[in-house]
Amino acid sequence: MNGPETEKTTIGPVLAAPGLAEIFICFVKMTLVSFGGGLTAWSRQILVVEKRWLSDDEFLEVLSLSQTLPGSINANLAVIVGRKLKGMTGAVSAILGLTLPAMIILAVLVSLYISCRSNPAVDKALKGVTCACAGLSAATACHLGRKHFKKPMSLFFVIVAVLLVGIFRFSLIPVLLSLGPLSALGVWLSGMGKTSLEKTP
Amino acid sequence: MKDNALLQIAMICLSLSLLAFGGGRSLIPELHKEAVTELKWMNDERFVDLFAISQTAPGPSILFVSLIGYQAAGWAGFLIAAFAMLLPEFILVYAISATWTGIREKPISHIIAEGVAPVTLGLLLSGALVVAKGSIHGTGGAVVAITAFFIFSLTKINPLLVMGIAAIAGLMGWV
Repeated sequence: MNGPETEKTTIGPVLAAPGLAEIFICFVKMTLVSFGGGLTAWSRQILVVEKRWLSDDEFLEVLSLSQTLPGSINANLAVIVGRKLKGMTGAVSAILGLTLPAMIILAVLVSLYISCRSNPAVDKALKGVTCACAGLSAATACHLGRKHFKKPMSLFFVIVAVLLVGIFRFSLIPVLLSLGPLSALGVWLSGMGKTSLEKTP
Repeated sequence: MKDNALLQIAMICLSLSLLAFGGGRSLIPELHKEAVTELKWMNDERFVDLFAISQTAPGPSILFVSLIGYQAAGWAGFLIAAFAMLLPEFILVYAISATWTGIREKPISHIIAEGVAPVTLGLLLSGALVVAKGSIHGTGGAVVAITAFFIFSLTKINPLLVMGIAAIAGLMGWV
């Protein structure tokens, strides 16, 4: 969303390993500038451009691993970068830096909510915000799905997942463990088809 | 009862941590099912209120589970939920990133990413459906949600600004 500029940089990583406090503060800063979203774009700006802890290629590698593994993408990124910089203590510093400011802000917000929720004005305003959040959630999904909606097989799995989880309210675990491997198998088979076609003279 | 809720929120987060493919938002349908339908910690309205609050804060969106933990078991639940959600993920990611390099070139990562992506998308759309059901109670709400959808899809406006305008629409009694 409102991320920083994303010009390509060829600057390589710096050699000296940063201290734990520096890693922690860097991730605190990253969280605080990402009010309203764009955390991934900001993490590139700070890690690659400002700190030069990673090259552009390393950042893409780390980002793609963060997206492949389960869990919050930005938390995964913090763990991988922290580990690269300073091992276990680096990873812990990074994840704490990323989550502690967010937790403090959430604690303040939820306390305000609990003390103000009986106020009719607050209640009305929140009703508007929750509707906007419904729109935001749908827009995020559609944005991520652009290329997948065009492939018939992907679209099929999207629709089946929405029916099972969104409409019939099946549990996540059986749906993910059945549809996930089936869909991956489909990708693998269609990939095999492609290579065998290419080999045919 | 409260200790029981603390244990339940910890178990939910521990079990879902490694299933959050494509980021934390894909867990919303399951979190709703557990917190509202099964365990009755809150109603639909409270669930979407807490979700909206978590969306206005910076940081990983998965920290929404802290607010569910708070509702279920107070401040202990707030902390335990975040810890239980992040711990398994931390261990897995740490171990894999230490041993597995060059993932972008490996076919297996392509198969996992491309294979799981449609299911993740289905979960994200289901999450949007859950939030829409809990928040939209009439034409005004639907108009706000649809307008917000198009603004987020077509522009790069900061979501907080749109939420602020939606809050004003709510204050005016249009929602």
